[in-house]
Amino acid sequence: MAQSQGWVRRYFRAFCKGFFVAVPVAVTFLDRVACVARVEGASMQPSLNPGGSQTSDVVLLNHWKARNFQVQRGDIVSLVSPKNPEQKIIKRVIALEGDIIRTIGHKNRYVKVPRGHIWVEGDHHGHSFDSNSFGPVSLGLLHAHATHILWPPKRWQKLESVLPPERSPMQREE
Amino acid sequence: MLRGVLGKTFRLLGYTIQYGCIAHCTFEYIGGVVMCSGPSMEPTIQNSDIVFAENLSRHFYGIQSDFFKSHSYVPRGHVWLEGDNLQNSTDSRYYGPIPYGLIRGRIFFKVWPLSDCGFLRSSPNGHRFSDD
Repeated sequence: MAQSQGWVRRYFRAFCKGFFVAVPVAVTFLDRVACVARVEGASMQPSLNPGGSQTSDVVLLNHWKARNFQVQRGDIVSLVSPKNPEQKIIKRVIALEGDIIRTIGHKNRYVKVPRGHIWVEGDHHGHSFDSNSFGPVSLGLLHAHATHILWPPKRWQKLESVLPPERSPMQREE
Repeated sequence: MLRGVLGKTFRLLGYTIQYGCIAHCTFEYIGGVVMCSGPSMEPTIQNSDIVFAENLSRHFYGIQSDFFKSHSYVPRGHVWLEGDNLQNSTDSRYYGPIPYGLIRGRIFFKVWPLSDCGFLRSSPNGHRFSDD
């Protein structure tokens, strides 16, 4: 009897010890280093979800690369939506602070991106809720860099940082 | 000898990672103490006061109210921020409404100085708000 109690106690103690190591380490890793996310919607076609609604890609989000808020034009990034903070959006960075950009359907024809902000757009113009509707977004909303497509396996690839030539800023701040 | 040193090093590294991760989780999901600087929140918070911030950014979006304030419209998912010291504060009057996603936490309790320890007082500029 006493022996079985000792066994239970030992087991419980080992479980607690493992729990207090594994959970904080896993949470910190997912918050700071990398996590995976499923992409919903058609806003990034054809780069992501090219098959429409039947398939949805799973991407690797690299938080470590975004820790200093360093982004390049053309990077695919995930952001906290400025309209709904519980939602994350995935878009391509088109312009950085100081750039002058020709907009598509924004209230102003030309926009100069203010300090500490970026201009993001989905690859699927007209089907994307992006900076053309909500304007430049603060860099503080940057969540992570999308670096790879992980799933489905046949779509496994690195996501290249390419700026569509027709969307390149009119004037770049160097 | 070498094995002992290596073992100790690895154990130290393990503990460092473990406690670092626990600290990260605490600051990210519960809250922490912050030392404030600058005059913009006077008289509610003075320079170099220490306050407690609860990190509720994950479940404190319930208070969405689009309200008009001195003729500027606060869009959906945004808040209007102002320092209590209206004469000496860089806030939404300068940079406009900011998205909820940028809120790091809510400051509600002052820890230091001890003479003023307690929950923070409501805004001295309450008359500036309009809820409709």
